[in-house]
Amino acid sequence: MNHSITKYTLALVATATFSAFAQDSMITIPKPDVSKELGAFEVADGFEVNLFASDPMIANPIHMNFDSIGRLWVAGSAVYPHIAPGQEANDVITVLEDTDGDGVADKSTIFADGLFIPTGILPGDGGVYVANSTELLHMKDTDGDLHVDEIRVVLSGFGTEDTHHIIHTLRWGYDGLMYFNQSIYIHSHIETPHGVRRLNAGGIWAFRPDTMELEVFALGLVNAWGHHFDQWGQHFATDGAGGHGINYMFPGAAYMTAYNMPRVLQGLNPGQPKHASLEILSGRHLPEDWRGTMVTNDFRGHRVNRFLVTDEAAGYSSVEQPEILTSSHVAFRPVDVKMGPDGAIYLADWYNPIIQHGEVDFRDPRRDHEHGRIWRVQAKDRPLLVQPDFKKASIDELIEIVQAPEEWNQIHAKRELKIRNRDEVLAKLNAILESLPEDKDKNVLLRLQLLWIYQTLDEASLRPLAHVTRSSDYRSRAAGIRVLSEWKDKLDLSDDDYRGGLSDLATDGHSRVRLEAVRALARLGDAQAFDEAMGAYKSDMDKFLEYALWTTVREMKQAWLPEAEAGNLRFTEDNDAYIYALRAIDSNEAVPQLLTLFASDDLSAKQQRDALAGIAAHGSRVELGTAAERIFSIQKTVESHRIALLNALVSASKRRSVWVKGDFDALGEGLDSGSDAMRIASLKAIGAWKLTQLCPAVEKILGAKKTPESVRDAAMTALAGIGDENTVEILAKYAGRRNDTATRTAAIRAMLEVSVDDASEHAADLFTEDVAPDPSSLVRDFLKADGGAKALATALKGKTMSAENAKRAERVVSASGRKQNVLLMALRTSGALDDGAPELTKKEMAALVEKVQTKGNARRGRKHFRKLDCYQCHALAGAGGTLGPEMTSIGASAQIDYLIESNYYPDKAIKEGYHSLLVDMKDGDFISGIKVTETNTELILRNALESEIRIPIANIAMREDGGSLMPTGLGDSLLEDEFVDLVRFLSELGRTPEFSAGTGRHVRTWRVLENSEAARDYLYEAQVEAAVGEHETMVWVPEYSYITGEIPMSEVPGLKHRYWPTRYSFLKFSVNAPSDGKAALTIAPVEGVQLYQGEQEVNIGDDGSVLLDLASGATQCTVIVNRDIVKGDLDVQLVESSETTVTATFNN
Amino acid sequence: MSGCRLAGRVALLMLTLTGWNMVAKAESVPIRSGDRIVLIGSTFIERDVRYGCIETLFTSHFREYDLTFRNLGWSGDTVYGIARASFDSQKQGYGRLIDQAAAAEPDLILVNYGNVESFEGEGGLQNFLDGYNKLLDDLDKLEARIVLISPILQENLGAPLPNPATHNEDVRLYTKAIGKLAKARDYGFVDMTEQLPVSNELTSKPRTDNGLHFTEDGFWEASIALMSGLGYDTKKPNMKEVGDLHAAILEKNRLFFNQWRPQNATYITGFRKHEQGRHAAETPMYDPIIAEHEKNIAALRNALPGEAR
Repeated sequence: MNHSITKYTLALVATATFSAFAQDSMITIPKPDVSKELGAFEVADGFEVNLFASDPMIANPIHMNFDSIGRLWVAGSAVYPHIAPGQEANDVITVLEDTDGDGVADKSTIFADGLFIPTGILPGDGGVYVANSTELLHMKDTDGDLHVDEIRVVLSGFGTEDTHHIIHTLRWGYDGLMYFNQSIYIHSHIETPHGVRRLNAGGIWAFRPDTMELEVFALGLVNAWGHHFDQWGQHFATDGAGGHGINYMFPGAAYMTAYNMPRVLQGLNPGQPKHASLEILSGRHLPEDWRGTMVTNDFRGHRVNRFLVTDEAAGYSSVEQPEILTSSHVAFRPVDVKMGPDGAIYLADWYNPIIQHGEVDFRDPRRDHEHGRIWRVQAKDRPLLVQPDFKKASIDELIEIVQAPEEWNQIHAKRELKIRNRDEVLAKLNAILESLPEDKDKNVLLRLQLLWIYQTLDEASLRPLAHVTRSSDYRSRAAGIRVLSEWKDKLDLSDDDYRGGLSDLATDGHSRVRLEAVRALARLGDAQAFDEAMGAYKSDMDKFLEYALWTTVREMKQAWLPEAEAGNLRFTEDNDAYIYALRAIDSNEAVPQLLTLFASDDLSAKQQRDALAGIAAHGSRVELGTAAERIFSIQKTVESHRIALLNALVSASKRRSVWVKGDFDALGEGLDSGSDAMRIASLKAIGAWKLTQLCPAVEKILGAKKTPESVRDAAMTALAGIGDENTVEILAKYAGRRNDTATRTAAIRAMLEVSVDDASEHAADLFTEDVAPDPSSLVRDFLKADGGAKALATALKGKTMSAENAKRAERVVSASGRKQNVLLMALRTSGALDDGAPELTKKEMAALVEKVQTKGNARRGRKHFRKLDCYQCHALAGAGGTLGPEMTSIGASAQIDYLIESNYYPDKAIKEGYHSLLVDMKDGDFISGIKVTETNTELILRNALESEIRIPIANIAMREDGGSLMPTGLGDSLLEDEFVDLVRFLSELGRTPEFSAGTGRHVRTWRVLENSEAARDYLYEAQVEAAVGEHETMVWVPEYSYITGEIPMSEVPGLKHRYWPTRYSFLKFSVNAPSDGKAALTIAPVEGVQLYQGEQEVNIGDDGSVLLDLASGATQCTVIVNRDIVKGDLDVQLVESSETTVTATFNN
Repeated sequence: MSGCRLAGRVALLMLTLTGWNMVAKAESVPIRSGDRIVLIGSTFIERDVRYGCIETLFTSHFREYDLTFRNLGWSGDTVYGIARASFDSQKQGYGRLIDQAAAAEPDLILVNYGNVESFEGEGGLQNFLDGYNKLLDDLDKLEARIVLISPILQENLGAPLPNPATHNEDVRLYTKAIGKLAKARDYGFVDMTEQLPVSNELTSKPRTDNGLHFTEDGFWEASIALMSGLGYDTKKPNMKEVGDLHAAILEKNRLFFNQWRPQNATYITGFRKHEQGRHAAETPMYDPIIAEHEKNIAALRNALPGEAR
């Protein structure tokens, strides 16, 4: 590191006003001793690790790639995370060489310096490509001294809004394209000779340097720090923040963060930690069962993970395997993994105890700017490989190498062929093609590799392509379509020929082929092409194919919508397909055609529901009215269906604030003569659509003696919805003291919609009575009402609530994310509560940190985590809520001071993607939640109940940043010792084995039966049937396993009927199978445990083994536990067995 | 003076309004002593941060003028400021463009748009002109002189790079329209299609490496062409003489780039500023450092051998 900069940085550190808590003494920074780090590794059986290179040869390596003569090019940055004013940009590219082949670098050369946070490096085209913040550079050494002489800016205009998001993960593809990625905060604008290319937020770029063609291959992911291809040219990515392990990428795939996409795909391993890099293993050095498995780095948990990915319909399923290695060293940060020329696995270790720069200060002195390591993992007792000499190899030999098992050799050989005499190479390729037998089953991979050589040369030709798309292997057909799509213009194919070529493939027997054909047809953009693409539709499509079709429907809508309406497209003959396409558009353009369908008598009940959902979401007042009338004129149907349709229409119209216009005689009839359920549905419609003409009928219901509670509540809500001058007076009759609490609550809630002041008076009376009910739910309603909080505060003046109820109400207010200080003060005064905790001083913080380190007990803290309902928002190993950040390996990345701060002041440092939004609607409604995604027309939030709310942007009056949704004052509601234990627990997560998620596939999310008299009675009456089914008296609530996978039975309610000798617990879980087949489980303990699959009891072997015979889809299982026998934990996990025929997963 | 039609009348008016101390003969001359020259545009302008050719050529040619420069180029940008929007709306991106131009306190603004927009062809022309007029209305409020620079013709480098014949027709179409705009608004205008002509044939001595973007040598040629369009005959300076000056300009440009386009903007000025917003305090810390570098540039410029013009 440059001396003057060190001085400068230190000066800044001394003067800047950064976080008072970021102090050197807060954590123990380990000595950067290589042997310490080496000693801290646990390596997979049969493997060993050695140091390949270390500082001072390299510092903070970020990305690396080998060249064709076995040299390792490394990009690193000491400037990261943020350059200081006047600081030199002095980052370097280093070339490492192992000249004697002993697995240790013995020569290092600085190839280039003066770089500005280089985050990607890729040798090729006679030099090396370097991602340098806003630019992609090509650097060349022209005189052979391994030092740069020429720099060319290849592309520029990449965004830099976050330095760990700037372009990264450069790779050569099997197809000659260069792929690289950008992350969520980046906005790029690139001028090319083909026009400007733009990409907002995360995505993968595909670039052909020779032609300067630059396209976006796939969208999304928070930090797609890993991207690689399998041997069939299918793409996979990992995410440094997404938490879904391996993600399957295809043209047009969009994952979370994708800009302006209302719907995104999910990865293959939900609940995984953050990952950096991805390498699909290959080559003869590794044992056979490792080849093809995918390696990525849990850089927070100091682990190198491995996944086995197998075909599943159009997509894949992925199962975690035992780690390649793990480390207990806090500075071990594996950020890149690459196969080396000798067949060993190389790991770039960024070496840093601090890994964030949003949450932790840019200039935090604990950051390491000097060290870095490359580790090398090899299989014991297996021969290493010798890299071919690509320069000396003949064209024939190079073509031979392209068929080698080592992916890197294939790529280097193709790149070498690209610079050989083109005519000669093409003649050789042609000769090989001529010599191959016509057999569709033979030479499948060879033909594909030959095709990719043509593609690498950018030599479009039908000759090598035709066989590949007609192969008997679906993987070949899928790969061929991808090439055809890139070559459409280069082959000068007419639209008719191209479409004709894809027609059969869109209805191919394999859904992955259909997926590729659909995306290839989308290139054309005409209605006929769309008609062909819809050939791929099936009502039970695989999720990836369905997504590909959904995105295609939307991209091509301008072309096909009018043609469909005119009846010119074949696919509209299938009502399911037609409704699917119309709904996928998700706009009012589809409503006229959906209304026509809804009016026809040919639709099934499900089709009616689907068509109505599309109408309800986008129709005008009149169109909704037409649909409402139609609901009552449907022939041959049951009342429950009519009710479901009406409810769907009402809730959509309410959400959109549309007053439906139409003729409502039939609705009035339903009010008089229908069942209770029909009357409730009709009342909801009356309130929502302000049907004043039906007001007398509503009052009549309210006045009638025999009206059940549920109908009465609905009638009150209907009156409030109508909201005319008499409403308050009528409701006041029911809000007064002489009514029971439930009636009063319902009346106050309804009144709130009409007059907050009147409602507040009544509520204040109710809350301050001697025996007052829990105010939480009403307070929540007051917070939602415009001016409700203020009015309630006024009404509470001078009145006394119980301290307990005041505290309950206070919690509701704090958790709302809105700073309602007036109401908080009023509640505290009314309940005689103390004010919130004052801020921690530096000294107090230091003392608290020390106490966590010396006295904290993580096991006790684990209990508090459960007791405080942390699971409601935070997941451990995928189990729990998604409203707050995943906590699986928080202890491995966050420092103790940060954890304390986050608990005390949730608003201070909020993780990426967890800022709440407060939205005021034009109709006075108020919604708060975490933003899921936003399009030009809709904002989608996830609210505190974890449901997604879609908000039309046109209806939004104002929005503001609401900080964190996490309740403040957590430190307040726990005793200090309990708080210390909780923080200790968090600090151990992902750091020590007892508090880390292993690779086992456990049931982590359970539904457990709540203890109630009704439940006990029903169980006594219906026995097992009561437990294995669903019944309204049985209330099942979520409960979660420990991070290690076991569920503590002490946290599960035990039920004991008076006639039973012992207590029992009842737990449900759901297991998912991609197709029919057998899956193996183990259950521990065995004694005192019964397992039911659906309603059938399943045999548990003496060793706890179970074989489930599963049908495709989700299966409910119930565990009955005798609590007198089982005292400890229960563990259910999926295991591999010789009898397993399907890769099942738990719905965690 | 070919290619430059700066309106003397407007310049005179501004002269009396603001009372600038002008050197003689300056009325009809675009570059004046003491000018703060602000460059606005897309990739062509942005790349001068890396190459420093325009600035070095101007500075060494007008060594007695005490010129200073602020380069506000942004790759892929349009007259709507689209590349500056980042997380915000296009409208906010546009507002940022105006704010950036104002903060640079220009005396003379060289505006180069149309390189990106011309790919939209004839159909995009009206939208381009609407946006350009709005932009120029807003830049007028800064009371600086304005010169419009036309887009640049794409070279034909042969397969596998695209044949630019069709695109170049559009570049000429946009250039013509920009010329009219400049005339109507009494601005200066540099027609780069005239200065750097390109035929439909294969370009024999390319100035670019991809048809569109200049090599370093090409950038010197382009800078000389720009000067010529402004009415000044120059040639590539002797690099032995201007080497230090060139290096000093590059360093100043790097510092200014890091000041106005800081990395990690999300955390400094964006929606996560509550986390690292304290580092916004570093932005003004660049001012004295840049001022120091500009002093150095002035010293190097004054020390250049030969006589001042």
